[in-house]
Amino acid sequence: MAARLKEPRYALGLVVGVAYFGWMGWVGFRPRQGGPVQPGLPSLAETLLPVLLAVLAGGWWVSGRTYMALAFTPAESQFLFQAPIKREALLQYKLLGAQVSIVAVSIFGAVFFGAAIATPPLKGMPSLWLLFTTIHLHQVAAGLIRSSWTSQGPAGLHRQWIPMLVLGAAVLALVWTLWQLVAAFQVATSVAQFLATVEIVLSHPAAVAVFLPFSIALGPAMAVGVTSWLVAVAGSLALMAAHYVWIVRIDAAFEEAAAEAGIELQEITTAFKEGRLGILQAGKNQRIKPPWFHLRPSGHPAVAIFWKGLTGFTRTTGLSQGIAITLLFFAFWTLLLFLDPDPQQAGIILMAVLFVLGVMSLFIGPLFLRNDLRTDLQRLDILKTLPLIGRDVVAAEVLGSAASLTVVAGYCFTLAFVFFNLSTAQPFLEWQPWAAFGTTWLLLPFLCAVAMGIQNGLVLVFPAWMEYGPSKSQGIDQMGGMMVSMLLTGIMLVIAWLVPVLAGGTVAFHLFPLLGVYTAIPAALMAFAVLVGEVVLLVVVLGDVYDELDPSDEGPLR
Amino acid sequence: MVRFLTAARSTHHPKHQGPTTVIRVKDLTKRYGDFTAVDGLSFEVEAGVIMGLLGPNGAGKTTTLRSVTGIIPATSGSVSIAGHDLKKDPVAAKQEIAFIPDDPQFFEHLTVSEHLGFMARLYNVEDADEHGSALLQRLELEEKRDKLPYQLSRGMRQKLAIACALLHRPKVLFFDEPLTGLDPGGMRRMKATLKEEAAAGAAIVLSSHLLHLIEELASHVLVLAYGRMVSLGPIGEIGAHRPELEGQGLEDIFLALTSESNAAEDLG
Repeated sequence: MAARLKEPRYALGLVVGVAYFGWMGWVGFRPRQGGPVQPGLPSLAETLLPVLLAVLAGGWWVSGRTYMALAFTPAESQFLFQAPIKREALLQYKLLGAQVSIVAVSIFGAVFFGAAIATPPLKGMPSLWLLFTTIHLHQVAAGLIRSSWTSQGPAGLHRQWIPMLVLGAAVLALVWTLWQLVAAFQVATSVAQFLATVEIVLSHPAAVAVFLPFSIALGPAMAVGVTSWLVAVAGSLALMAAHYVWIVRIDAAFEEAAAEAGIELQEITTAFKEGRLGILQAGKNQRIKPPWFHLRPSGHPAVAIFWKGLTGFTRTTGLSQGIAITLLFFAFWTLLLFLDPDPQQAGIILMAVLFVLGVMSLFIGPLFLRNDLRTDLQRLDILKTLPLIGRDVVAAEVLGSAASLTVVAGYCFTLAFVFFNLSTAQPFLEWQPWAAFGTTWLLLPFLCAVAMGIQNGLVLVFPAWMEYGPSKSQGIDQMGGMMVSMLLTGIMLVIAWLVPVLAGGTVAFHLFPLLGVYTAIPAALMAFAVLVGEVVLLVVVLGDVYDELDPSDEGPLR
Repeated sequence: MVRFLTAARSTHHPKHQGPTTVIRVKDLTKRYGDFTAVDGLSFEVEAGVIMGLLGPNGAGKTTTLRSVTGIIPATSGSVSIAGHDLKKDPVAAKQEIAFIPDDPQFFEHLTVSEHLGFMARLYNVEDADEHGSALLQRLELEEKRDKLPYQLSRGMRQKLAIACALLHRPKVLFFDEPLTGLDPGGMRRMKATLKEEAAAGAAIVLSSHLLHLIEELASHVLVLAYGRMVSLGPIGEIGAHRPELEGQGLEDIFLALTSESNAAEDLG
């Protein structure tokens, strides 16, 4: 990092990074107006958060993913499990080790998010620490009991009969409460009435009993006033201590599950760092989706790179997910019609939501869809030996991820178009929405190509500022650099899109007196031509940069 | 500069009829700031010859391999592959090259057979289906054709790299530690593959620390130390200018040559 700081761009990154942390710290610790302690959370959240936490806890017990809380790394398993250490000490080691991240997350949460809910850090930190520690202890307990069950069968469960009894009662009460909430939702005619019924259901003794531990755990975070906070902390501390005693007394053989969890965790971490988490899951489930098109062995070789990029996207994104999301939107539309049976309003709301999502995907999507040079720079040794010039490589890489982004954004705009039509008196019969829809699809691939071209350009020109491959640069300067690059990307994207808009607008301005509404056609074509020109310019410039790129150990990519 | 003898060739590489110099490196230099990784290296390799590239750690072997394959740009000097200048006509030169690094990288979302399809399109291999299947069978990867790279063992990954490399029938093959991760059976097959490719007319450059492998496979060696050429020539003649090394094995000759170079560098 110190060597990088000799270059002005990284020094600027450091300044921005330090300024960001300084500002966030100041926001977190500055004195609040209106007294030392402000109301923690709104009352609705106070009612619903314990329910949410209870549902989450139920999920931990059912899914069995809690064994990850017990994960011992392969090195820990190798050295500690054969060492003369008691099982209880191993557990305490694991619990203590988890405190490092729990304390860090508590501090981070209290300082950086405390301001949003008007909670001072000195109250927020211990409150969050108590909450997260209790949650962690609960997960470990669930993991131990599952481990006892999987390693010893019914006998293992029999040994844990008290917690199983409590758990069974809690599950029954939770199911009953959720059933009542669903019933309340079905008969409600307005949101206010639904919330009123929720309050009544949650005040039933069975619901109070099942949510009490969760309310106690959340108590300090939601307490108002010093006295009530101290009382809540005492309750939360008692709950945490009870969990600790419970864990120590479980005495289940967890070593095998802990070692397996450690290996799985390491596998997931590596896959995440290498950007292949989705493909790891697909491979495990033996559900490797076929590519969208067959690659013939003859033709322009750069198509292979495009195909490779698109296949990377299709392996983790499929038609079934698209259908599921579409059904969700239609379910939401039905819900809106139920609450307010005006089809025009429901359609317009969903159109607006989807349109905003589509526009946001154009800005944010390029940061997440990375099936291009940002992923492949880690394999530059392969790319550089391929019989392709830089411009071909860059064009194919950019178009591969641009096609993926076009699918995502195009999906949003298409659904927006559908819901807009569902809000009109004559759905799909008026030509103007069709014209706008067609123009969107004409321009969209190139808008996406410009967005992806900028991202790829930044990683080629400023590799240490942009994340690529598994060996991510680290440090405050890199984080500051990321912020600068995100800002620059946004500005460049707006400028790049503004130029074709202005060109199209100029054409429209001059031709409108002659062509009237039909001016839209030459205006759209002009915008299209300018966009295509921008894409070509980006590919030419970046292709030459790629050709000069030196991936050697001492070069800029290491 | 030594001109290597041409080995036997078959119809496997029909374009190469008669003795041909397929790798021609002249005054190759690669610098990183003040540090010179490769210093004025020149050599030629003819079709059908296996040349061992030897040198202690940091001698510049990998930098040399990466420079002559076009992965990194040379600071100065020229590289010609099958008559194509790597700088002036990189696409034609790279069309004839295959490089298998010691730790091959793959596209994690492409299966074994898709990797071959990908390479086939890049190199326009018309008979990719038949040739690819034959390669998978030869390398015992047939059953793994629908597996993703992370599902393969280290040895299997090495085999996949070789299948991808051989698919387009390259005239020049560069190997960096080719036996890494292979079991004894895999090593034997790998050595057989190298011999077959050389016999078929490919020029092979083999970088390895395994001197017995070089002794077994290579007819010529190039010894590097501190980025400079220490010795170059047929394997039986590299110590010929040193009477005290006569009759010594490659290991003794290599250690004698490189330790001298170390001493000279230390004095310098």
